Amino acid sequence: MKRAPLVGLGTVAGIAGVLLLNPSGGSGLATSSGSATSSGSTTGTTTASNTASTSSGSVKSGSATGDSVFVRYGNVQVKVTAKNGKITDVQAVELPNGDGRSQMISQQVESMLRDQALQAQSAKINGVSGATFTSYGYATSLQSALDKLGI
Amino acid sequence: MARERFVHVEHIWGTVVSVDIALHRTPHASTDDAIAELVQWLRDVDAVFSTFKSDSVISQLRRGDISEGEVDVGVADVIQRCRRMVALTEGAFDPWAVPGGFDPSGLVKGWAADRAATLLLGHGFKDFMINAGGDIATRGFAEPQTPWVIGLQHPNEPGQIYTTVSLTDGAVATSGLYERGEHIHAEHLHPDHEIMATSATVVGSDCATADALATALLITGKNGLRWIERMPSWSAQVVVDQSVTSIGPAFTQNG
Repeated sequence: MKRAPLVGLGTVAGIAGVLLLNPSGGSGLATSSGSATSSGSTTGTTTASNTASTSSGSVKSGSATGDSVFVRYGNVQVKVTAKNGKITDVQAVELPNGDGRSQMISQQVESMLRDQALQAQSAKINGVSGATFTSYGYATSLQSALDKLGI
Repeated sequence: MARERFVHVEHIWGTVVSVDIALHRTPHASTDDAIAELVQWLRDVDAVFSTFKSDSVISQLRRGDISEGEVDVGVADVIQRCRRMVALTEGAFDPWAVPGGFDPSGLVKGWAADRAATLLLGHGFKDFMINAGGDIATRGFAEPQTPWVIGLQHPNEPGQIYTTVSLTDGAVATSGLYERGEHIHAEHLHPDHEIMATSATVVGSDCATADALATALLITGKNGLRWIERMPSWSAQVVVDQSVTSIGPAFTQNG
């Protein structure tokens, strides 16, 4: 058995993408489990889209905008800026904003995701255990932007 | 341009179930039929196991309208697994002790992820991850020779992960007080138990067992790690406030 302090584990290897894709009055992330208070689906296929402005394999500095990924309540698209292979900024170009509340949630999520991305430096994570919401739109778009930058 | 990845996200059970299929070994496989079948099956699970639907099999069991001997093989399988988990966890996980009657919600999400994995294997897919509201079953590889990397939700900082585990054929489930608010998760817990941990994660071969064990470890805290010690190749991590205790191979490299 091992003990380690929770803070400073230093092994954060990815982004915990979290998107609160809830319209106001819709099914609750805050509601209890087991009930299908809403159902809907999102399907997306990612393709190898290395369409960065330069054709060479590695672009470690600059900005790239990821693919726009459709999720249930709209499209998610992020723009990543990097310098010398390090992410320096992540901005959401597009987030779902069906109504005022969704927009507010989207903005909160954007700021949270941006912080995580900067901290984690990579979206090379496939899923999150314990999260009750989806991360696909953000993580997928972020990954495609990182691919374009060669990070 | 070859497809590399197929992602489907289904909003169901009051949460999100996502299916992420890597197509590097099966580039020409058709995903439509498999996803349609899988989504229908997720809806069936809800219709049968929801404690919020009065006509579900579980609601009928809870009311005593039917007995445990009258259920179909799927429900019988869940009941049997729950029995085994009660024994294994020395009663920390006990769906029969939930106020209102038998409530297998602490195992069904993981069980559903396992079944969904079997369904996709049956359709010829080799590499995929099913995330049933945070309980994850994986098969194969995310990319050639690259296992699936799963982040674990940080219990104290919403939306952040604090470590990762890598999986090929396996499962990971996390229970945390943060998930849906402290009291709501406790619905599925034994009323006599005090919750000892902030978060508990279990990694192993099947998600139903991982799901139930994570729930049980949330209650017992690290005392319950002795169950995992008896399970070769299984791993668990218990977070209590700022302290993390890990056991098993999945956490060896991250310690």
